[in-house]
Amino acid sequence: MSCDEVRQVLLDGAGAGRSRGDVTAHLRQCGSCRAAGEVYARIRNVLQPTAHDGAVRDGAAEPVAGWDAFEQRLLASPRPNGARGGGRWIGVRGSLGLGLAASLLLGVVGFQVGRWYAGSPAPLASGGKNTDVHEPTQNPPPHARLAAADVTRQVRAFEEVSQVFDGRASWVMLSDDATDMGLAPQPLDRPQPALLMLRMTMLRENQIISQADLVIVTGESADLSVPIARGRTLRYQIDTTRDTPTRLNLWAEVLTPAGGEALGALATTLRAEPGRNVSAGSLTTTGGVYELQIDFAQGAATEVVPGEIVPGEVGPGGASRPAPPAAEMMGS
Amino acid sequence: MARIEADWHAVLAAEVRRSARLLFRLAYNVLRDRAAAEDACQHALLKAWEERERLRDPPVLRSWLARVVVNESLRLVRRRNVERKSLQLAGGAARAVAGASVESDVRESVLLALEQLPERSKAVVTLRVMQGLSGNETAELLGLSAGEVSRQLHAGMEQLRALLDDWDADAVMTRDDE
Repeated sequence: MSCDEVRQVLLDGAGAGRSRGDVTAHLRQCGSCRAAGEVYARIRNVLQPTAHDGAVRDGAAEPVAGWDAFEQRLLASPRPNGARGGGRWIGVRGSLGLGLAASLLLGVVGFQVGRWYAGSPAPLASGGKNTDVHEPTQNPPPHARLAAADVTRQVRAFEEVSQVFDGRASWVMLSDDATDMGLAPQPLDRPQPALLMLRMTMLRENQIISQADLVIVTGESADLSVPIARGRTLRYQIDTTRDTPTRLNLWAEVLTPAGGEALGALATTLRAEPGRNVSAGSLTTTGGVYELQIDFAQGAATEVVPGEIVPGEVGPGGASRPAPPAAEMMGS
Repeated sequence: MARIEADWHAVLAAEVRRSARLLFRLAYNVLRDRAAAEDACQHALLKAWEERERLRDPPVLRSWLARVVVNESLRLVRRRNVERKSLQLAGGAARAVAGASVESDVRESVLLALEQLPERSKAVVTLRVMQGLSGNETAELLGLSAGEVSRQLHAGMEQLRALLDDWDADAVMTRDDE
């Protein structure tokens, strides 16, 4: 038997007509196939449900709110009228019985009420655009939305960083390509600081070129950079207010690989209304037009007891097994 | 246009009723997190809505949704991994971070490697190894021949081996120790 045939048998039992003895004989004299078989087995052991994963093994894992509500949620996502309720279970935590009605209500009302802050315009950047009224984005890509699980993870990440730095964390940024954080000189004076979450999605020709999630204590400022294609950097400077709803002054610029020259910039003022996805405007470089979409959510940090952070499933209804309170979301 | 959209919505609704459990369990087996698994499924439905012009053929819809759910679930694993690394950078918080056990580290390494496989191999390995589907079930779901499933499983596992190259050394050491 060839090594390929033996490995095929090891993987899925293929190779009818070959006796077990043939395979054993081959393995006895082929160290390479023995090593391959051991690695296959290890991969299987790691990926297959274990004795500890009873719900997976028995096929008993169920959605947080049960199968009916889950199907309703999926059906509520795409709707023929162009509106969508994608990922917006943040506001219906604990109200599982509302099911489809709640999802539809949040999806539709979320797009129809509210106006964006039209306050004092921020300084206009050279080559930039300043828009003072921001309408909800009509068709944000699915990844541009902050889902309930995202919000919970972001708050937890913030809490853990804050814990390490004695309550001085003022913001934490997470993206696929970079992470960063900001520290205040002194511990923040509020025991449960209000947190604002932003998913900043930069698109060019409707393609996502960068996405970063920011958790920031309201009233604080953030200065962060995210690498993008061709060695360039996307830099955001954000100031927030403590009032409700929080207002933001936002500066975004694309920098050259050398890190100095701004190829284009955008300055704007926004009102952060949780659950809304807005187009914050666009900036133009010689490489094209970039559009910035921002999705908002809100939360509050809670005290995390050192050494008690445990893994757990956290969904729209909160932690599903004993765990420190990670996120107290305040509407969407 | 409105009628086309209504028709497509009806097609999706029928598919949700047929496949919701399969899709959820696919995502859950990767993520081990119910809320995240739901998000991955919803992402697939939203994407199916956006791609309605291209996805005209209902028989392929289930297969397409399964692949999107797998891809999105693995993307979420990668994102979770980045978040955890950020906490490690933040001064050793990883010692206290959820899921930081050696066992979950190993699993996550394999999942991150799995995400790097070509689409077809990734789907086959996920369904055959993680989901425990038979070769024929996998072939039917993905619209492939049984032979192709077998080839993709072989190719996928070999690529995983290459990506986890230190595992070969471990295997040899274990054998030598015995």
